[in-house]
Amino acid sequence: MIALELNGLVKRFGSIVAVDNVDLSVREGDIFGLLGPNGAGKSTTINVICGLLSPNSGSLRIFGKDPLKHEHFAKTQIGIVPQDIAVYNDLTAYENISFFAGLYGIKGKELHKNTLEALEFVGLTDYQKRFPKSFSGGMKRRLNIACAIAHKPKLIIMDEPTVGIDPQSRNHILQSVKELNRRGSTIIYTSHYMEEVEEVCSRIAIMDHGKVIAEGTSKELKAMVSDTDTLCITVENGLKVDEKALLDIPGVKNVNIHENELRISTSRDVVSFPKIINTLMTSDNTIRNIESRTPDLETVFLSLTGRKLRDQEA
Amino acid sequence: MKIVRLIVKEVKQQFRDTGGLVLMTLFPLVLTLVLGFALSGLYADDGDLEDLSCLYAKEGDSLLAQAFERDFLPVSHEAHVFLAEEPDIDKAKALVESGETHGFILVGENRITIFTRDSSGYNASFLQTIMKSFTQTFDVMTTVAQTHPEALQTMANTDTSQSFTRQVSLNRSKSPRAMDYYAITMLTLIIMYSSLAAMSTVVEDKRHRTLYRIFITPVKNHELLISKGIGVIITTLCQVIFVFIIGKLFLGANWGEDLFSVFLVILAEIVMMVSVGIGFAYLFKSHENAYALIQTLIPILVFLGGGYVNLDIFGVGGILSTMAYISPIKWINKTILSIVYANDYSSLGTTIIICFSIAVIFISISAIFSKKEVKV
Repeated sequence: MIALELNGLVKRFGSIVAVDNVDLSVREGDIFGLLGPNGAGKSTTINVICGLLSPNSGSLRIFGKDPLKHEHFAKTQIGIVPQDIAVYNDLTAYENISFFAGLYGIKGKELHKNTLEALEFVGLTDYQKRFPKSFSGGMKRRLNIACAIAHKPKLIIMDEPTVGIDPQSRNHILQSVKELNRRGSTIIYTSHYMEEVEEVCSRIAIMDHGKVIAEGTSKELKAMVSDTDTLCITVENGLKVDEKALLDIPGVKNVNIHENELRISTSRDVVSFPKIINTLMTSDNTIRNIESRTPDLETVFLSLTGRKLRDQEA
Repeated sequence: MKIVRLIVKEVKQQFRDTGGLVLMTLFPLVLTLVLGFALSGLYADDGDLEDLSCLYAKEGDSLLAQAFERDFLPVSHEAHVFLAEEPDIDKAKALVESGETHGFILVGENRITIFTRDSSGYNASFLQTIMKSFTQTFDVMTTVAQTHPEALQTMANTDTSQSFTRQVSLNRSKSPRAMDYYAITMLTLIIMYSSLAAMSTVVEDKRHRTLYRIFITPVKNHELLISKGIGVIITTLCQVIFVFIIGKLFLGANWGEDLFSVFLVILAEIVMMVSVGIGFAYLFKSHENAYALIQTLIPILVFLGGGYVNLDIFGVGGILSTMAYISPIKWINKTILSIVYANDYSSLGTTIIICFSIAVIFISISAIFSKKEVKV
């Protein structure tokens, strides 16, 4: 089933087109990454999805239903982890989670149970009676997540949930994302951090200037910009190799020698690695290190937009 | 259920705001105590009553004028009102204006007009009440004379001519001491600051992005507005009741016997100020400007309303007295003082209407601007 479907979505603010004819389809069970620099239209798209903004044109379906006609259904299906920490400092962790879950109509024992589960999920059970002002940045981020999941939404939108936290908390959050997905939630995950998106997302859309400029799996996106891998080989005591012999190997496109290091560009479609190693070994080289480099999402973004993803970060 | 949850959250937050609680409870009590003692000389004490010297004039020799001379003049001194005739109306008015006499009573063909420096002050209320009592008695006698003349003799034997002086004497003994005066005005002053608490609930929600989080839940905009308003109203009412009880028990403040009417006025003021606070929060893009404006307006309005010191005492009249009526707090203080000390309910309706009209205006502003906020 399709969890979220956007067709020709347009949102304008005066003369500025923040979301420009966006088509997106997120399948149930996906962890869908939404990548893009500040001002790309990610947050506006999210605000349209959660009903805070009305689109100028286009259509939107959440689990097959039009949210404009089924507002209550749509809102209860969605949980949003906002980019900014949005909790009350004068309510305890328990009270924060319970309050926000209660606004979705959950009450009584179910509310209490869901609140405790959310606390446990983010690892804040021992801190449930503490006020967030005494929390570390990572704990606040985790509480921010708990407030969005206690009503058990089927679609969770996480807008930069790891900004400004330590590696340990980041790892905890990434594991949480995977666990939420394993439990059946569909996740839309926006981030500036390519490695996070690569790690957790099954599908990725890249947005720029309000448009989706590419969409697919991480592998598909990388393939869009290059069909070449780079092999970096370091040898001991000076490189002894016939460059032409390497270039004659099927799949080898380019050879670059620099002192003890050899860089060979190879076609991804042809298996050339064993022959390259064999050529080096027969030329009496002692190989110290071999590294295969494939293009990362940063390269993909750079290639598609002409600039780095974090160029425009505040 | 959602709205109850929102209200409970608001009340919980308000009661956890220690600074706000101190401001709204201890502050008015301390101010009442300090001002009550410091300015006690300016107000009535528990001892002898002050005599009022007034002038009067008759326009013609109507039945009303005859009754005034026959029935009222001989007993007016029993109500500590000492009257002297001054046929020159302009001169009499000038003497009132300059403070040389407490008031001037003009007895017309069929009505009595009272001139005082401030028609809402104690002396004015006192004279109004005493003359109202006299005219009511006169009206009854006139009606009886026209319809059942034979009953006049019986009524004359019951000495109705002095009934009004007895009623007024009772009111006179309830003249507010400084402590009584400030117990009322400091309470109405502090209620003005509930607007800041109301504003804060919206501003803090915006600042901490929790408003965004609430907007993405199924909560409707009007539910959010209503709950914020009711939450602050409940909290302020609790604080007011606390101040009221402590003021009555430990400072001996007099709140009169009709607590229902007094609380009706207080509730109207709370509703008005909470609505103003929420309205300002949505109306102004810059919260600092909204705070600054409210914090500037409150002392001005309270001053005009006689919150810090009763302007009548200093004989302030003219433009300032007229300007004072733009201050809702003037109406509120006047109404409560009139109810407590003169059993006078004449301004109750006007005050309630003023308060609720202002509340409706600002609730409408909040409703309109909060919708825009959602869309931005």
